[in-house]
Amino acid sequence: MNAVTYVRQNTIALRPTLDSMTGARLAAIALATITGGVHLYLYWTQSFVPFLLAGIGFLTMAALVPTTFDHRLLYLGGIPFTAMQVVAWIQLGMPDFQLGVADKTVQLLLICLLGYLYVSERRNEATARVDVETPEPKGAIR
Amino acid sequence: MSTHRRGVLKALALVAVLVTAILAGCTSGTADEGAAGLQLPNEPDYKGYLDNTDNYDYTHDMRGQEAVTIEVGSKGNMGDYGFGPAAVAVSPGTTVTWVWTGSGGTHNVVADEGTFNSGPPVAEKGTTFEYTFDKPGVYRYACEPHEAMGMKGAIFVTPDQSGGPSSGAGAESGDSSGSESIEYSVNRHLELGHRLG
Ligand SMILES: [Cu+2]
Repeated sequence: MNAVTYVRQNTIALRPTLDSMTGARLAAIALATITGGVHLYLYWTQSFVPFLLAGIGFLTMAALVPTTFDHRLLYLGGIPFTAMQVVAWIQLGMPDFQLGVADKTVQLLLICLLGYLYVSERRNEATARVDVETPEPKGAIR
Repeated sequence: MSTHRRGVLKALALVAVLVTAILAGCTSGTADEGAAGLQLPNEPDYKGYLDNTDNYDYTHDMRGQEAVTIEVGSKGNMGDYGFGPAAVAVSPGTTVTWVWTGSGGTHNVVADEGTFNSGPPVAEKGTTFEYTFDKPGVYRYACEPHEAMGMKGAIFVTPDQSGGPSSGAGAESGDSSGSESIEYSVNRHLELGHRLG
């Protein structure tokens, strides 16, 4: 696949799909929506632009899960994006402490889940590819 | 330049204008300090304490008032993380009341030398905290949750009515001679002149 096709597939040719929707993917949607919502609320009450960007980022992440978007990129991009939020909160002096602790718990869970999804879906893909490429030889001795 | 590229540039320019307009709409409005004081002839030296406080413009001269109000959670430091105004000059005996705007999350008011402390951070609009400044000096304070973001302020308490910290005698010693009141009324006239002019 060349770069142009790849970009096309992940932008204008993007379409929603519920294929391979799993419990883990649903959980990732839920967690990203929660922290995205929290950040939009924080932007609403505090006018801090990075909150708006984080909110849009997390909601976009959630919205891209039930689509044909390259999930490997989604997971690999989502992990550092989310980790950055945790680091930024600590660096800024952990403001809004209680809400912050709850939100960062959600974000740490999301990081773990994205890691799990990346590994497990890659493994599934690999298994599927092996199945296709090397069908079981017929009449083999078992 | 091709017409196509020109079209793209035009579109980009339009987006830039829209974004600017939206941002301007978001930042304007609320939190203009009520009784904004005039500037002092000589700005006090806060020793770099307010260097990362982007809503610190100058020390607002509010000397001669018995009560002064400062907003907690006014516009500043990329959000609602400012004390408004960040720096004020008051006369000894002035009661300063901090009033929470309800924006910017939880805040508190804590003097860096422990002179005053409003307690744990709270968010509720209308919360107040007051402290009466009897002793001349520079009082630096911050909101603990947002200190790293620049939510800091200073109260400059001075008996001197004629000008800034280093203008003339009596600035540090705090003597109240008869000439001071005359000087003060003259100063008032000048201030009025400033306001009218
Ligand atoms: Cu604060």
